[in-house]
Amino acid sequence: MKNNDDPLAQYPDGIRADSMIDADMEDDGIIVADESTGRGDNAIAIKEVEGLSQGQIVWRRFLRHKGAMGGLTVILLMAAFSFSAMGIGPISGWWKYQDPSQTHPMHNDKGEPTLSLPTWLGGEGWEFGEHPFGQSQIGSDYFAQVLAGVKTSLTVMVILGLTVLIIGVLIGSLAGYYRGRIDLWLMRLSDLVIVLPTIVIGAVLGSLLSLAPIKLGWSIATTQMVRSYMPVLLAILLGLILWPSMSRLVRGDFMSLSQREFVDSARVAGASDWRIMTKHILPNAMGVIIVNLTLIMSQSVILETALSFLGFGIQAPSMSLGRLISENQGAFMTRPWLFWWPGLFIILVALSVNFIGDGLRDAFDPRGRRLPSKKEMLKATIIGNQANTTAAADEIVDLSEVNVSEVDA
Amino acid sequence: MSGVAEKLRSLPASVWNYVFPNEEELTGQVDPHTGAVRLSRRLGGDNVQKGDSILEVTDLGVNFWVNGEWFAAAEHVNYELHAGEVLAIVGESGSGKTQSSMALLGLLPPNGRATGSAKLKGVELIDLDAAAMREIRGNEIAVIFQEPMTALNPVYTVGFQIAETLRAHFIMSPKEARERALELMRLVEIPEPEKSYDKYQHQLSGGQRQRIMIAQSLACDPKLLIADEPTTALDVTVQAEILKLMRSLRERVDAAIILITHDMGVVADMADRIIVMKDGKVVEHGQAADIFYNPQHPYTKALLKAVPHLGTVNLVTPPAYNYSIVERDGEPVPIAPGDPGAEPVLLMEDVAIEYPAQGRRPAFRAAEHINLRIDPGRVVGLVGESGSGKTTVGRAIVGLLPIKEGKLTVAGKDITGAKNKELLNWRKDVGIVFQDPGSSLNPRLPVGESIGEALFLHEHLRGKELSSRVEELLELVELPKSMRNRYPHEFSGGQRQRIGIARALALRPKLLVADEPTSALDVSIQARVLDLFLDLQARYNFACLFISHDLAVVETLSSQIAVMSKGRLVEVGPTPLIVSEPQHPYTQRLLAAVPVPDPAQQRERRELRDAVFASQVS
Repeated sequence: MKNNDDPLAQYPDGIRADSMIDADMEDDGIIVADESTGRGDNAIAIKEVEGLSQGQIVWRRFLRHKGAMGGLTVILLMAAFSFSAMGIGPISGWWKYQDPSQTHPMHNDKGEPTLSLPTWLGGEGWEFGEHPFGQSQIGSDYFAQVLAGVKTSLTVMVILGLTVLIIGVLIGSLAGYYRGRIDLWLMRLSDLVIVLPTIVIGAVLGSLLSLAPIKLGWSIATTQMVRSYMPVLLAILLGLILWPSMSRLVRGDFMSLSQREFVDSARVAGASDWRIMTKHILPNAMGVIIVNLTLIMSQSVILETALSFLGFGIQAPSMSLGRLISENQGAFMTRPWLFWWPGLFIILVALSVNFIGDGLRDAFDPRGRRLPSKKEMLKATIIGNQANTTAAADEIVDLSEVNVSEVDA
Repeated sequence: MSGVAEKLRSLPASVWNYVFPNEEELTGQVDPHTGAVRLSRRLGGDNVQKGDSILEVTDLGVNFWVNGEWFAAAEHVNYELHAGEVLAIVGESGSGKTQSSMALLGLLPPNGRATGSAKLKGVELIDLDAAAMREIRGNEIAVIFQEPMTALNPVYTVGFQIAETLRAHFIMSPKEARERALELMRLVEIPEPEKSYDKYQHQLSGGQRQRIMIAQSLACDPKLLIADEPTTALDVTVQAEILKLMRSLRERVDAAIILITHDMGVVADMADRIIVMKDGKVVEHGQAADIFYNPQHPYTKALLKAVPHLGTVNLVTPPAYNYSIVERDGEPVPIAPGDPGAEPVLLMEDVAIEYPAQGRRPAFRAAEHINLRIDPGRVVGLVGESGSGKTTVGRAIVGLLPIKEGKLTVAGKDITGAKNKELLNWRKDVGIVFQDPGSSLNPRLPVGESIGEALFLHEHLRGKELSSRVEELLELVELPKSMRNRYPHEFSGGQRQRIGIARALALRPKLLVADEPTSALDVSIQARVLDLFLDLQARYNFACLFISHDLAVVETLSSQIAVMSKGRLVEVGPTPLIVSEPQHPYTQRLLAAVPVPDPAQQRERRELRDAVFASQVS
C-alpha cells in the first residue's frame, strides 16, 4: 500500500541524507512531553479511571461482575423474605404460623407442599396454599420451619463474620506491623487455634451451651434467654476458633504494605504507629480482608449446618436447616420435600456468598483490568474499520476489506 | 544429520511421518552450526547476507479497545531493516515503541490489534495464524527483555532454559542441546560455562543473567533481534559490558537488531538508524548521525537537550576545599572540610548501618565507616551502583534505620540511638523524596491529604487552613490547585514525583534526602523535575543529599560528590574534580562507563572505557 501523501510512507532503502519529520506534530506545538494528556498507552490507562477514587473503581468493577450481582440479589431477597415472613425479635412477620414447632392436622394425605408454580413455569397456576413447603412428619408447618432456619443461618453467618473480622484483623495487623516477638507469640497462638478440628470443637461448644444451664443450675429465665440466643452465642464461639486464617492473611498484607514507601513517608512525617496502621495500611488491606471474610462466611453456613445435623449445634427451640435435615432423616423415601427445601436454601446461601466473594476478589485485583471477550473484539474491529473507512475512505479500503472478511469467517 | 535424527530414521515410517508431516520441507533445513535438523521452517533460507532486506514495515498501527473506543497506541509506522543493521526506536514510556515492536510477534494483549503490514522476508506477520507465529518466535525473531530477573524462570537452571529453546526448534538429544547451549554461553562470554549451566538465575549477577537471555535469543540464529530496553535494569558498568558484547555480536551474527530504549547514550553507542516516537507517532526517522547532529523535529531537539550530559558546566558554588579525598589501603575517607563558620546540617562520623538479623538470616552490614558532612544550603551527590548502600545511608539520615556504630548528627540533633518519641519534633527538619513514584503515595488517600499529613501532625492545621497550605504547595511544584482531591493513580510518574517533592518540603526542612527521585522517569520529564528541584533549592536554600546512580544527573545539581562502593565511601570531592580527574579506580570505571548522547564522542569514550576496564582487570 503506497501512500504518496504521507511523507513517512516511502524512503529509499532506509538511507536518507536528511532526517524525516512529521509536519502535523510541529503544528501542534508539542515540544516537550506533556505528562497529563497525550495518546498512547498512558492515555489508555488514565482514561479507564478518570476522576474516580480507588473505592469507586472497585465498586464499579464489582457492579460489572454478573455473578456477584446475582449472588447479592439472591442473598438480599432471601434475607428480606425470611425476616419479613418470620419476624425480627419481638416483631412478628406476615406468615400466619409464627411458631415453627406448633403442629397442625395434616392438610393433605402425606402433608405434601401446597405450593404450585404459575402456568408459564409448567405448574398449575400460582398458588401458595395452606402449607406451601408441606408439613413435617408430626404435622408442623415446614414453610415456617425452613424460613426460621434460613434466618438462623444468615444470623450465624453475619455474627460469625463480625467476630472473625474483629479478632483476625486485630491480631493479624499487630503481628504484621510490629513483627519480632509480638509476631512470634501471636502466630504461635494462631497455630494453636488452627490445629483444633473445627467440627469437634464446635460440637463441644454447642453441647456446652445446651448443657451449661442445667449443670450450673441457672434459673429458668436465664436458661430461656440462653436458649433463644443460641445461634448468636454459637456463632461467636465458632468465630473464636475460625479467626486464624484471617489473621494470617492480614499479617502477610500488613508485612508487605509496611515496606511500601508511603508508609516510610508517613513515618518521616511523624505519624504514630496507630495512625499508620489505621490510616495508611488498613484501607489498603481492605481488599484481602473483605474477600477472605466472604469466604469464611460461606464456610460458616456449611459448618453450622453440619454441626446441627450431627446434633451438636443449634438445639430446640431454635430452628436450623441442619437440624431439619437431621430430624427428618427417616422420611427421605416417603417425604422427599423435607430435604429439598433446606437443601435448596443451604446451597443458595453458600453459593451466593461465594459468588459475591469472587466478584469482590476480581474487583479488588489491581491487575484485573477487564478484557473484552472475542465476540466484543470482533464487533470492535468492525466499528474500527467503519470509522477508518469514513475518515479516509480511499486509503484504507483494501485493508478494511481484509478484516471484514475475516470477521465474517 | 545429528544422532537423534538418525535414530528416528530407523523407526517405522508411521512414527517418522507423525513427527515430520512435511518431510520435504525439512530435509534442506540443517543447522550449519550443529548439523541438527530444524523442526520449524525457515523463511528465505538459513543464511542471510549483510545488507539483505529482512523486515519491511508499512503503515503499521496498534490499537487498543478501551471502554468502547479504539485508542491508537501507535500509528503509521514505516521502516525497512537490513541484516547487520541496528535500528533504535526511541521514545518515552507510552510512546508506543514497545507495542509497535511486539505487534511483529503477535504479542499484543487480547484487547489490542495491529493494522497495516509487516513483512519478514516477504511473509506477512500481521494477523498471522498462531501455529505459524510460533515457528517465527524464537526461530526467526527473538526478543531480549528488559528485566532478566523476571524473563528467566526461577525453577529451571539457566542452561536448561537455553537448551529448551533449542529443543523446541531442533531435533536434538538433551546432550546435543547441552553442548550447543554451552557453545552459546561461550559466545556471550559467560565465565565458566560448564559451571554456570547448572546455576539458577538468582545465583548469577544481573549482567550474567542478561547474557543468558542474549544467548537464549541467539539459539536459533534469528534473522531479527528485538532488544526491549536491554540495559535499563543494569548498573552503568554492567551496561557498558553488555553494550560491548552486543557490539561484538553485531559483527559476528548477521541478524538485524531493533533496539528499543529511552537512553540516548545507549542509542549513540549502538544505533545505525533511529526512529523517534512520540504519542504513538513517528516524529523523526533518519541516520543516527543526522538525528544527533541535525535534529529537525522540535520534539527530537527537546529530547536531546533534556538528556543530562556528562561534563557540562556546573553553576553550583564550589566547596571550600579543592581536592578529592580518596580511600587508600582500606583507610576510610575522612570528613571533608566544611564551609568556614557554618554549622553542618548533617554530620556522619564513622557511621555503620546494619539490617538486624531476622530469624535465621544473620544481620547484614549495609554500610560502614561513613564520614560525611553537609553544610546548610549545599547539595551533595551520593553515587554508587545498586547494592552499594547509598539508599541505606539516606534512610538512616531521616531516622528510618537505626545506626549501629558511630555518631549521626542531623539538623543539630544527635539522633544516634534516639527513641521514636524523642524524634517527633526533630522530624520537622528533615524530608525525603522516594525513588518509586508508584509506591510513595498512599493509593487510598487523595494526594492533598498525603501532602498535608506533616502539616496536620506538626502544625495541627485543620480544614481551610490546611487546604490552602496544600494548594500553595501544589502550586510550588507547578501542579494545578484543583488536583488536591485527586488520587495517585490519576497522575503520571512525573506528576507523582512532584507531589512527593511537595510533601517533603511541606514543613520547610533543613535537610532533604532525595533518593533517586528521577531514575524511574523519562528523560524529558526528568529534566523538568530536576529544573524544578534546582529552582526550589535556590528559593528555599535547604541542604540536600541527592542519591543517584546517574553521574550526569548528580553533576548538574551538586557542589560535591561522594562515591560509594560496597558499603563504603571511596571518594569525596568537589563535583568538577570528581568528574574530570577521578582518583579512585572505582570512580574511574564508573565515569568511563557512562554513555554520552553523541555518537562521535561516544566512540572515543568507548575506546577509553575499554582501556580503563582492561587496565583494571590486569
